[in-house]
Amino acid sequence: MRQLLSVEGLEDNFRFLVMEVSKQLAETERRLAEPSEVSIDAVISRDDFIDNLKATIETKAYASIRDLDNDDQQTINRIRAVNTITSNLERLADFAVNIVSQTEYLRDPAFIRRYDYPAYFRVIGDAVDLIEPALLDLNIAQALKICRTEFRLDNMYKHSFDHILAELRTGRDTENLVTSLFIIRYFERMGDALLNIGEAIISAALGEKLKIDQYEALEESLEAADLGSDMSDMTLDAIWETKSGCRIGRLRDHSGMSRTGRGVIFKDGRAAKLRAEKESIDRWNALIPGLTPRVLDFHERGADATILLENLPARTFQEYLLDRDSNLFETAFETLLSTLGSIWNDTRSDEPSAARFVRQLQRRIEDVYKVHPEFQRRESSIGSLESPSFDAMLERAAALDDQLVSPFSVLVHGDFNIDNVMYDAEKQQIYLIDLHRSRQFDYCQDISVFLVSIFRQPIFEPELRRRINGVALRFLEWSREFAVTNKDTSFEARLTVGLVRSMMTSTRFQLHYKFANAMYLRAVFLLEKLIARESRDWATFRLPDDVLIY
Amino acid sequence: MASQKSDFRHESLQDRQTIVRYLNALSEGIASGRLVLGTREEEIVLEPEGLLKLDVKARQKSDEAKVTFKISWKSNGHGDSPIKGPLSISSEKAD
Repeated sequence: MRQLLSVEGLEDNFRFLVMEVSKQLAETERRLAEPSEVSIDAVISRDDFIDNLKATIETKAYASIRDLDNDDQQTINRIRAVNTITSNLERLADFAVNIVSQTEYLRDPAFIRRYDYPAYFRVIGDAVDLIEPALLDLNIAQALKICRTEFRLDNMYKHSFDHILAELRTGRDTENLVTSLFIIRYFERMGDALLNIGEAIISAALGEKLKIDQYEALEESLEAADLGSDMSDMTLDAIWETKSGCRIGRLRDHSGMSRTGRGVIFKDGRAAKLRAEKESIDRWNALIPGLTPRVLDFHERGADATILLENLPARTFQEYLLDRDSNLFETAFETLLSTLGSIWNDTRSDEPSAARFVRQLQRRIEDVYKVHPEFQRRESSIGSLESPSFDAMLERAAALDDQLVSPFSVLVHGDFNIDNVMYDAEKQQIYLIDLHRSRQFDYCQDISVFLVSIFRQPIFEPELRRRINGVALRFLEWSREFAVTNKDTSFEARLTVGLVRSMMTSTRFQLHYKFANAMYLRAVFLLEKLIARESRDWATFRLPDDVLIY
Repeated sequence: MASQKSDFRHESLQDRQTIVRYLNALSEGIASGRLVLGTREEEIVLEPEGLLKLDVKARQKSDEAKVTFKISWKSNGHGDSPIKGPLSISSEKAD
């Protein structure tokens, strides 16, 4: 932020604007106190100066947005915030001019003192003072304080308004009362401008449009969970993972989590999805307590919901995998395997399950083609060798896949990526997060998603890549042993189809063409192997391990 | 691997029957997993393993036709750096 605003003197212009608006407010207050000491002309000429500053900032802001790459969304969001704040600061200054103009209509200049106008200026001034630090540090707690000013001013206005109304009924001082009402009404409108400013800073900090209402929901959750209700002491670390339709943030209080012992995770999204997550967590807790974060609070409001989860003092399995300096990976991996083995054994039921991986893929294939149109390969031939189109291969594989059924089912995670598994090294404990797709299902679902989430790590440095390849092969071997022990004869074929699905769908998020193509070619290779198996004798089919190696 | 060259190149004019002999020699090498190419002084030994990437290109222009078969692979199944300069065979014929 600091760097951005220093570009072309934008930061100086902005700081200057805030200062001028503050001065304008101070002069306005002085005019109310001592009308003879402040001329209306002085206030109006400062307003012209503020208008010019605003125009300068807007021009620079638009120019820098135009010059930026589209992918620099964060910087663009910040510049947008500068723009929104600038125009609302200018409104504050305009309201100040309006107030000063109104003073001419006061027959008794001291009349306005009845309504404690200095209190209004204090509240507004405090908020204006917060604007620059809140914007520069993208400090959400400070931005929220700015937003709150609107509520405070509304309440103060309501109080003054009721007072004036009562006095008007007496029929005395009508002119002074009406003028006072006008003046106080401008304070209330300043509150609206400050609310816009606070929201603009929150939006810049979070990278998306977010309304104060959503923060009210968050605060409500915090209160209900009794984790400390004062949002001003909390920092929303970051908001990430928006592709699944939920906003997720991690809250930390400034005292270093001392009050709650640990932070909390807040999610805000569609009710159906968050309810599914809550129900899954409840189910997991009933079956195997302690594997999931605790639900501290859950609120539904129509189609939306918020959930507040315990923030685990753990790192993701992905972090352990990619941390070449950590010697903790081996124990994390071993703990994961034994935990997973227990889950599958404990939740195993003889209910067969058909995952229908190819159908799952067919539902998403258009999204893949949108990112990589060249993957919609047409049929081709070289001499007498023919290869069908990709869609035709999928259709043939779907017919095979429809016959493939797991002889038993287990409680699967449903989105078993390496970043949805966490490990607490101190307690040697595995945790599972993001359980909204969890259900009783074919365990090949979790295995294939897990293996591809390892494979698709964009790591090309040989030593670390070797480790990644090795972990994938070891996980595959361990899964095979589970299948053999449980007399699952179609395991290899189902896992193969599962890998086709996950390799293909993962290409959507991989814009590195060569790597995306490597996943696509593996999916095609596996499809060809499956289709070539005309005997349907899946007991002797074997997944070629090499597809997991890059 | 110590005395190996990392590049080998051969260029000649052949008739179709001889081209088939070259293709057969390549086929045998790929089938056995060991393909030796060399001159009197030095040789390069390729050991195709794991997944081999095949890239076939063909082009026909008014005065020239061309087909390229490119086979490439990672030299070590556990993620070592890839060998550059994949084996390629091409045939050209003037119309």
